[in-house]
Amino acid sequence: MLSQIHIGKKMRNLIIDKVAYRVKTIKGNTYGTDVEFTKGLNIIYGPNSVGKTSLITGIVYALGAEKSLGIFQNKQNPFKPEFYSTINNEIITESYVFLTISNDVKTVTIKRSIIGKTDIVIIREQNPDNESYNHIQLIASGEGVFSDDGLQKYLFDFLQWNIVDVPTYDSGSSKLYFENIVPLFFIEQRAGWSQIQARQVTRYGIRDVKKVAFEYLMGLDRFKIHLKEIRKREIQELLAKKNDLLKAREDELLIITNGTKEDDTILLQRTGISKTSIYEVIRIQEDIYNREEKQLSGLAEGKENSTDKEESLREKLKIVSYKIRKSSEEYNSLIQEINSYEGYIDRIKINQSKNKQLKKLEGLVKELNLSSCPVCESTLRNNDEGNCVLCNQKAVNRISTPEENLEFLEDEKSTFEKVRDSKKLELRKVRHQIDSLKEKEVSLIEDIDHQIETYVGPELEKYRKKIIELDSLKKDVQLLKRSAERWGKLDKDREQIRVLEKELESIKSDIEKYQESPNDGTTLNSILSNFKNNVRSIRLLKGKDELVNSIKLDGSDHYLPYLEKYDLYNISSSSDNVRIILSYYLALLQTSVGLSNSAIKFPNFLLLDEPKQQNLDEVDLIAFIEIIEQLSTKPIQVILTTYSEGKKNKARFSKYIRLEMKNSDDYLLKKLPKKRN
Amino acid sequence: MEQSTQLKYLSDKIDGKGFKPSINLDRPIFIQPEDRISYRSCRVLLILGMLNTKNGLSKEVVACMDFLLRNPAYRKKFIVEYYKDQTNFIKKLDSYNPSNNYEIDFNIVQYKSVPWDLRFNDMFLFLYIRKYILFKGAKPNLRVIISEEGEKKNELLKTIFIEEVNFLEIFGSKLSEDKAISIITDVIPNSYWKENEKFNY
Repeated sequence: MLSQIHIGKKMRNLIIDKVAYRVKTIKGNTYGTDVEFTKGLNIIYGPNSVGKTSLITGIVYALGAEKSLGIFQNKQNPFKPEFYSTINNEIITESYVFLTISNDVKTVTIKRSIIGKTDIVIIREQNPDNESYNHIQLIASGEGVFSDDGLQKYLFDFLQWNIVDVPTYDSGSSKLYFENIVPLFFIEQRAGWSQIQARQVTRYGIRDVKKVAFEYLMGLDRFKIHLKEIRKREIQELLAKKNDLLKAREDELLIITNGTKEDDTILLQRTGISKTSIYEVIRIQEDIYNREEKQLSGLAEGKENSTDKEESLREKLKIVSYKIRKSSEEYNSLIQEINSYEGYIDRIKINQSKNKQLKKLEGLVKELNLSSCPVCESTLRNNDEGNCVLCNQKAVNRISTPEENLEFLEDEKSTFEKVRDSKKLELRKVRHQIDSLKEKEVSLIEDIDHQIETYVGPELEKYRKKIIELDSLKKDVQLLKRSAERWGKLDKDREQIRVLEKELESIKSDIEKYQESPNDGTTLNSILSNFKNNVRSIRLLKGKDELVNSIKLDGSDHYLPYLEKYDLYNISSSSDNVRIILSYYLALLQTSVGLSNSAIKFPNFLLLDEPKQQNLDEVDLIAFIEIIEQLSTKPIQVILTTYSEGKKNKARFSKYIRLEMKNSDDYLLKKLPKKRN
Repeated sequence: MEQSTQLKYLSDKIDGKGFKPSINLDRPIFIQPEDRISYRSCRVLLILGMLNTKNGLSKEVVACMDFLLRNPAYRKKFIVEYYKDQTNFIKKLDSYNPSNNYEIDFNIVQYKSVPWDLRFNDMFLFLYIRKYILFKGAKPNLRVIISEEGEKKNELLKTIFIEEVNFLEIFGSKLSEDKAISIITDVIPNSYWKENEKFNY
């Protein structure tokens, strides 16, 4: 029962209980550190480059939010080499970060490897019924972080945040990721102090992501508008699709029926009927049809006999015509074939006469005595490949004489002539076949004509015409009936479209109506007044109270404080910039715990990694601590890394120090004593 | 039976009778006149002996006229095209008396420009080393002229190439080379080759 009471507002608290590292090396040594935190203020104190930031990195990394450190690729490691490569010249084989977090109700430990399989985390949570532990394996990075076994879903559940879709720049939607919210309670060491939400992740293409993340976390009603915008876009797309489909179907029916559309019905114009709806046209035409059909039925007898006979004759005629067509094709191809044989024979004849000329030419031209080389006078012979050394042609033993050529050609000619003659015979046969088929065709046509004249003479012409008219009328009525039926079925789609249009209208008016809800006004005013107070406490714009009073904060600039006449970030020095940012984040925390608005999801947790080049001076630090101390009764946690050279007032805050690095050799990772088995 | 199995059957039978089978295919390699340099050279000599004997012919015109002697089917078309604008058109056409009515052969090799082929070089060489022809001028105006010896030889050729002489005589001794080339390279390809394409596809 107790835990159920706790569920509610308190559960959104994020409290870091402990961060621990375990780094094992190839030599079997283990290095590590354990740092425990409490509610309220926690300070990690130590000079630069000893590992304060590594502790912060561990927290962010274990929460799967390394993108908030500026790490976007899996192969990039957000840690320093002594966490994943070598430590004390020993090669690291295993390296884990352990983060214990609680939400006031339950406490779990997240274990994530720093080397090797880094995309998986193991969560160890105590079983509420007994003392055993559940170990859950979750996806920490890459695809699937929002799936049921994804770390993001787990964290959202843990903090009682609802997972939401928000509009993207490409008119789609995206989930709001954990790393989109982290920049509102974590100030990263370098870029984090240059502007508010500096490490916001824009890679998901979320529209106005800084604004959206702020509205989500601070529970502004305005955020609902973003969700409404998504729904609006969804409906618009769906409507466009449905309208297109409906129009295509309607157009098709309008084309078929040759009609026009008016008030969701088809209007038709038919002979003898003035323009009216399709249903009326069907009714009128059916009436006409029924009336006329009765008149006709008396005349119909006596026609049946002739029809059967006519049918069979027509069937025969069809077959004969088909045969004629086939035979004609065969005839034509035979003629082509014979022509080509004639062509061959012609060419052979030409060749024969040329051979006769060749025969006469023999001995006519001078034989050249070229049996020896004109230069070296040695006998001409063939070269290695058997080719003539002079012309390099294949030396042949004997080429044909003109007589042999003539004999060969005569043989070929007679073969071709034989084939040609056989084809000619075939041609004559086909010709004959065609002739007889044509005769048959003529007689069949005569038969049919005769029958038509005998049985259905000109006196029945009027009757035939009427039947044709009635037939077409009947067909038209059938077509119209089918079309009307299909048209009616489209009503369902029209109704859906109407419902969607209604929803779209209401969403549109909601979006237009929204100005600023009183709720949002309260939240924003609280942030602003807290911000102004904080600014005064840590001496920003000292002596320029007028300026401080005119600072504004609204949705116009991602909910950042601004001055109307001046650029707030330019009139201040870089150390002032740090003050602005610090005041802002503190204001968020103050507002979250100060207002009893259950919509606010701020985890009442701040993780501040002090700027590297711009340390807070002691006076500011103490002012900051005083602000936090005012909140000491509230369930908050603030983790701050800091250091100051002068140690005048260390006693003022030393009670908050959870980890102190004494000098520049006092590294975060320490060699741990070996366990005894 | 297949031819090879028939042969095997034969040799097996001979072998079975105790004889040693030896098949000697004493077949000459058949080379038709159009593939013989000597035959074609004689025809080229005929052309040179009958047309423009004084100044000779360019190699291209020789190739064009040879095309007509090689493919008798195009001769009539050539005469029609050559004389179509002249008054003696009918007379010229009348004087052409082919022994046969040749059909156009659509399957002949189609040329892109002049019906020239490399073997013309061999033919000119054949005639030149026998001193039947001479060359005059230089490229690109090189002309081939028949020699005295060639003319003697040509008288004999005229008795053999009767039909060809009948065709060449129509043009007298003066042939307009440009006209001849344009008919062979332009008119005939455009009229027949295109027909040919229709025929094939």
